[in-house]
Amino acid sequence: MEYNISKNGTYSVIMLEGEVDLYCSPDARKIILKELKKGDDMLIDLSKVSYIDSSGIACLVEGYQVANKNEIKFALLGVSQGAMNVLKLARLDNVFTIYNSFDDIK
Amino acid sequence: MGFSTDTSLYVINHDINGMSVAKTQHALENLKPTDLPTPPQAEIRIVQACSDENVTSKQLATLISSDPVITAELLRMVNSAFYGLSREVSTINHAVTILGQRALRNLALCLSVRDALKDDYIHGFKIEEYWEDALRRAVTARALGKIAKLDHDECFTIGLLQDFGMLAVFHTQPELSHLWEAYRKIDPEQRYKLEQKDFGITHDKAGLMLGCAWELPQELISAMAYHHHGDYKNMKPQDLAYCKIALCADWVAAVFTAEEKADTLKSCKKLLKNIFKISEDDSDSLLSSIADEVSEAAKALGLNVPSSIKYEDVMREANKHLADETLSYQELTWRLEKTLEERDKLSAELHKELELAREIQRSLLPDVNGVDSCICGMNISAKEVSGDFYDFFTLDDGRIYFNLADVSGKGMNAALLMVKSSSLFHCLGKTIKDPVQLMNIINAELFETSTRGMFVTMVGGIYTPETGDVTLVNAGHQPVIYIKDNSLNEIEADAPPLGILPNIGLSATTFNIKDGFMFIYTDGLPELYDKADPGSSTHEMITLFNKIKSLPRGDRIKMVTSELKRYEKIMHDDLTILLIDGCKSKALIHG
Repeated sequence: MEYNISKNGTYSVIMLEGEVDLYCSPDARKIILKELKKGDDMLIDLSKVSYIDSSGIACLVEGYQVANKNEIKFALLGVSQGAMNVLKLARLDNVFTIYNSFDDIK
Repeated sequence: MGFSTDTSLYVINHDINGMSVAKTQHALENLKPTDLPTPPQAEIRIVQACSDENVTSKQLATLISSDPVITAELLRMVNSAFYGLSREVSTINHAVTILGQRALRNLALCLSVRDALKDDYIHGFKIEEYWEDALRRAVTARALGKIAKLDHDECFTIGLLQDFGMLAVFHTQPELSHLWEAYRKIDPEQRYKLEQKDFGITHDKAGLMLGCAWELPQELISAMAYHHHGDYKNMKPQDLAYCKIALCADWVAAVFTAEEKADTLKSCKKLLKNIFKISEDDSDSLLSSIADEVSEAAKALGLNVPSSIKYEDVMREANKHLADETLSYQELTWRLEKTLEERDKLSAELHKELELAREIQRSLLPDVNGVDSCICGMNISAKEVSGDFYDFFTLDDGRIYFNLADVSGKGMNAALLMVKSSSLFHCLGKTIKDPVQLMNIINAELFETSTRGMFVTMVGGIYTPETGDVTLVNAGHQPVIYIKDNSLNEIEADAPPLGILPNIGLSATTFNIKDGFMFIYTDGLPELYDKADPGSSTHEMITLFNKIKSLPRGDRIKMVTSELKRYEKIMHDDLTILLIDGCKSKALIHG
C-alpha cells in the first residue's frame, strides 16, 4: 500500500493506493489517526485502492468514529469499484458519506 | 602501512597542535650542529678516514692506534661473541685486514654514538630503553641484510642509527619526555602520526638534519631520512634496500614493546612477507632470535639495556588477545543460542496459550446434544484462533435460534471480540426471542465498547423445523443463500455490521426452506475459490450448492468438508459455514 496526503480547501485528503489488507492496515490506521489529530475535515481517496479487506474497512470505521466524536467531517472520495463492492455488500455505503469527486462536495 | 612514495609528507605542518608544535618547529629550524649531541672528535676522525678512499689500511691503523682508549674498545668489540671471529684479533693492523675499512668505520660509528649519548642526555628520557629498541632494530637489520645479501654489518649500523632523529626531537622539548613511554606502546605508523601531532616534526626529518650535521655517510643519512616515506622511484637500489630494511626493523622492534601485540605482530609479519618474502615460520624464527642477539650486541657495544623481552612472552600476550577475541565470539554464539532457546521457549508457551484459547473458542461452538434439527456447521481458522463463529440452540418451543458472524480483522483481537459477540448472542438469545431485538442489543453493546473500528458482520435468525419457516436478520454480512423448489435465492444485508453505529435500523426477512436448504458462509469461502482460480467463486459456489442439493442430508456437510480440504494449503482466512436443511433431523458439527 502507498499513500499520499494533500490539502484541498478545508479538507485533508489521504489517498490510499494498492491493497489495504491485514498487513498494511495498521499503517493506514496510523496515517488516518495522525491526520485527524490536526482537526481538519478529512477525505479518504479510495480511487486507487485495488483491494480492501475487513481490517482495512475497520481503519475507515475507526476514522469515521473518531471524526464523529470530534465533530470533524469524514468522507470517502472516488471509491474504486472493488472497494465499493465491499462497502455495498456490508451496507457500509449507507454509513459513510461518499463523494464521486471534489465537485460533489458542497 | 607500506612503502609510500608520497613526498608531500615532507612538508611540515606549521599549524597543528598549538604552542608545543611551534616551539619544536622553531627549535629544529634553528638547530645548529653544536646543539646536537657531539660525537667524540677522535672517533669522528676515524669514521671520516674509513670513508676516504685515499686513506690506506696502514694509515688507518696508525690513526686508530694513536688513541689507546679507542683501540682497546675496538679490539674488545671485534673479539666479542657478536662478531664471532674464529681467532682472536690482537692488533688494529690485524683488525683492519680482517674486517676491512668499511666494517671498522661502522664500529667506530657505533662507538661514537654510544659515547655521544650519555645517560642524562635528555632529562627525563629513558635512554636505556631507547638503546634496547635501537639494538632490536640493529640486530633485525643485520639479519635482514643477510637475507637481502647486503653488507650486514652496515645494515646493523643503519638499524642502530635509523631512529636517531627521535633523540633530536625530544632534545628540542625535554618537557615532553613523558611521551616516550606512550610512543613505545604503539606501532611505528601510529607513532609517526603522533610525532607529527605532538612535535610538528617526525624523527626521520630530524634524522636527516642530525645525519648532515654529523657528516655521516650518505647511505646512512638516506636510511635515517627516508625509511618511512621517500621518493623511492628516484632512489639508488641499495639505498632503497636499506630503507626497506629499516622500515621492517622498526616494526620488528615494535612487536616487543607495543601494547597491541597481536595486531602489531600481524602487521609486521605481513610487511616481512610482502617486502622480503619471509614466511610466517621464518618470521617467527627471526623474531625468536632477537632477544639473544640484542644481549650479545649490547655486550659488544658495552651498553646496559633492561632485561630484553623474549619473543615467547610476546607470543603469549598476542595469543591471549586472540583467545579473548575467540572467547568474545564464543560468548556471542552462546548468547545467540540462549536467545534462540528463549525464543523457542516463549514461542512454545505462546503456542500453548493459543491452543488453550482455541480450545475455549471451540467450546463456544454449539453442542450437538439436545439439538433436534437438521442444522450443521463447520469452522476452520486460518490462525490458531478464529474471528468467525456460528451458534445454534433449541428454544423451549422447539424452534432453533442460529447465527453466524465474522469479526473484522484476524488474530487475537478478532478472537476476543468473537468470544464477546458469541457469548452475548448465546446468553441473551435464551430470553430475547426476537432476532432483531437481540441483534440491536448486541450492536449497542459492541458500539459502546468499540475499539479500533472493529465490527462484526452477523446473520442471526430463528428456524422452525416443523414448518421450515425462517426469520433472518443480516447485519453487513455476505448474502445468505437458500434453495427452495430448485431456485436459488439470496438474502442480502439490509443494515451495516454491528458495532459501528449506535442504531443501525435492523429488520427481519422471513422465508420458507421446507424441502430445501439454507447456506450461510463467511467471505473465506469465495476468497478461497478465487485464490485457487481467480474469478471462479460464483461458478464454484453454484456447483457446490447443486452438489449439496443432490446429496442425502447426512452426507452434505461431509461433502463440503472434503471439498474444502482440497484448498487447505492455500487457506489464509477463517472459513465458517452453517447449513440448515428444510427437514427435521439430527444436527452435525464439523470443524
